[in-house]
Amino acid sequence: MPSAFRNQKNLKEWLELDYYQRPRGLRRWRNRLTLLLLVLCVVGVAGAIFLLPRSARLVQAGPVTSAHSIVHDCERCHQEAFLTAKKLLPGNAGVRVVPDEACIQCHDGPAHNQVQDNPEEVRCATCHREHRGRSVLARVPDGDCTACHADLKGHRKGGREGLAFKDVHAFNDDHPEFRLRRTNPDGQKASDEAKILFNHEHHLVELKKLGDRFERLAEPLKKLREQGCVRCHEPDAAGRYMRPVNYEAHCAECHPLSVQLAGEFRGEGPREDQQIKQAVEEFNRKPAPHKEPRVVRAELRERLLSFVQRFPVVPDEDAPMDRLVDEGVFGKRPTREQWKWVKRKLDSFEGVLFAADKLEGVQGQLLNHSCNHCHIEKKGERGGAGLPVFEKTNIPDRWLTHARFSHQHHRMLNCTECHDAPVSSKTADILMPSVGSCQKCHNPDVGVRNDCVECHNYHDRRHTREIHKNFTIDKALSK
Amino acid sequence: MLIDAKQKKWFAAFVLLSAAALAGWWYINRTIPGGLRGGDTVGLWFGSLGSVLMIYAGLLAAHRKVPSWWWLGARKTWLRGHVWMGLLSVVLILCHSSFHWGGPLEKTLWWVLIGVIVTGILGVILQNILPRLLTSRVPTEAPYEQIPHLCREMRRKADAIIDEVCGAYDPSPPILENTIAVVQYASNAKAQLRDFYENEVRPFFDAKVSRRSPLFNPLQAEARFTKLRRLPGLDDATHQVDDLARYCEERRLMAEQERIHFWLHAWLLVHIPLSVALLVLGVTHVVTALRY
Repeated sequence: MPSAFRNQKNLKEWLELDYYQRPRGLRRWRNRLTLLLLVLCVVGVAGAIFLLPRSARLVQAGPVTSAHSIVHDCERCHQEAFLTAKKLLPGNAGVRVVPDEACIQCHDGPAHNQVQDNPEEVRCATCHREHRGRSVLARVPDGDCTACHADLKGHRKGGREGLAFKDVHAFNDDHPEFRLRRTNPDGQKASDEAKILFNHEHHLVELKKLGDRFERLAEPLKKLREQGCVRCHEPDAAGRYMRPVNYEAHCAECHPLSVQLAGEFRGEGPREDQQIKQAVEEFNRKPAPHKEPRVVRAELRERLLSFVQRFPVVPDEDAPMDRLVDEGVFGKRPTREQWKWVKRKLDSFEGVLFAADKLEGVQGQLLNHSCNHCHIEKKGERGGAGLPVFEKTNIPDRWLTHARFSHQHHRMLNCTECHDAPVSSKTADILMPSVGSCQKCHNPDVGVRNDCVECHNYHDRRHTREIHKNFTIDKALSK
Repeated sequence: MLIDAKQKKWFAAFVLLSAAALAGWWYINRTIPGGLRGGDTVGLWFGSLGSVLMIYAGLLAAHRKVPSWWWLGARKTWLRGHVWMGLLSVVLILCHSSFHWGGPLEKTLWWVLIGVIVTGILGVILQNILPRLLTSRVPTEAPYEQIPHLCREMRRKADAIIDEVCGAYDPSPPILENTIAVVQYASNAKAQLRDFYENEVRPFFDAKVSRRSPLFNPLQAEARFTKLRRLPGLDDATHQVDDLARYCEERRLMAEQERIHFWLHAWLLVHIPLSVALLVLGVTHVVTALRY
């Protein structure tokens, strides 16, 4: 319905024809609000940039890691301006806004290895991405590792030549078995190359059955039953790895290198008899040292010599003198008879310690105290003065040298869940867990972390260099 | 702008481009260790395209201020682009940010962008409802900016009508010194017409009218004027009273038009200032992000 008054003919009578140039209240308010907000934003931004302390935080897309929060000066790391803009140009996708030089001011990240092919892949900022929250910058995602390790031949000098590692896409997909547990191409299992004789099964299973049959073993066996593996395998201070097994701390209680003065020793009267008896008991209580054969011989000879000089005994028949020390150097000069007695006893002790396995009736005995009960003698090789030569034990301090592990984090587990020690009777058995053992828990279904850096280090820390310590606290704080 | 079948192509383009952007983001996000972020090359391109679309959407305001050059395209096309490409820019910015809020500046930008988009969507909804309501309720639509002027004109003409019927206006109150005078005044139709006009009709032509005025209600207004027409002594002024009633009806419709017009455009009070804030903060973000 048209207006009762206004029509096309009398519009001029009713309307101001330039009305569109005079906005009404709503538009005026809109213009005022727009101007107000424009001024507020400009002033706010300018004020924040120029007046607020540490205003850089306002424009950060994410906070830096807590370790880097000490740096308040953006230019300390972002050394060249507008590098980000360069990424928009073709072929510049690999541009890193923080150069390695900025990182090396405080860190040295030695190379992963010497065969990496693409220099872009070894830039710090390629893997360590800042401004992503307060997480640890070293916790790089798996993709940074599998970028190369999913196709190693394409990312190393020499391609496939000399390549010792398999391609890996994810820990739970195709991570190879640990090298220690692998079977070689001939179908042979890898074995523990340690030169020591030890039977885990015997110690963990058989000994427990003994009960209290041997009074002298009652206490150590009780400890073994109570403490289990930790009786011998003690964690280090950080709880990460196991300290090396130590003879004095872990073996000597059951396996003392016992040497006994046998026979009757009589003095010139009852009083002297008693003294000799006490001295013999004292001698017998102290085992031989757990050292190299020549040290063992030297110490035993010294002990026998001091014994015989203190309590002269009846000299024995003639004996060769070829093993006597220089008579003029050490203390009181022994008599010929005393040397003979010492030599005879020393031969007896050495027979027990170094060649007990050859003695009739000793083989396989529970309380065999000879060296070769555990150590392996080099066949056909004799050391100085005809002493046996034993192989170096060659027990590794670390087994999985390409990874790190913390026993402390796994302390709720029974050791035998991962280490098959109760069924191992040979030293050659590898008791390290298989990768499958780890994957039982470390998988996405269970939820325990399974990323590469959980176990592996990227930087080869053997090649870490000293950095220049040229920062003062104030300079570090950008004051 | 009506959202109708004519915008199928715009809608399809929006859906397809959004799907392509999201699929691209999803794929690249999976392949980049640690996920795609705004500072990566692809993230920067998402951000750049989103910013360009935002600027394009913002240019609608500038387009209204320049002549209708043919090569600029029709304003209707620009308005459609403003709506659909503005929405697409949000999808691209989501991909740019990888669905993260970011730092303080980015969070502020997000809230401002949400404000712009929500008010924009509200505006589109209102523009699809209120114009129809306006057409049905206000058949005599007047130019919104001229309503105060029209009110003044109607009041001037109404003043002339009343002066013609009742004589010149005497602002001094009548002297009612006794009952007879009161009765005489009450039976004087022209005096009552003048009284009704001065107290109710004339204020109704003010620029701001009270919704409590009885003239705002068509039934009450009609009843008042019918009563006036029946007064003895106004038989020869029926035509003038009818004109006065029509002016009041016109004013009522104008008030209704103003009310609907307010809701039709009030969202712009938020949408445009926030868009300007988005521009300033966005420029700050771009400069600082590219600088570092």
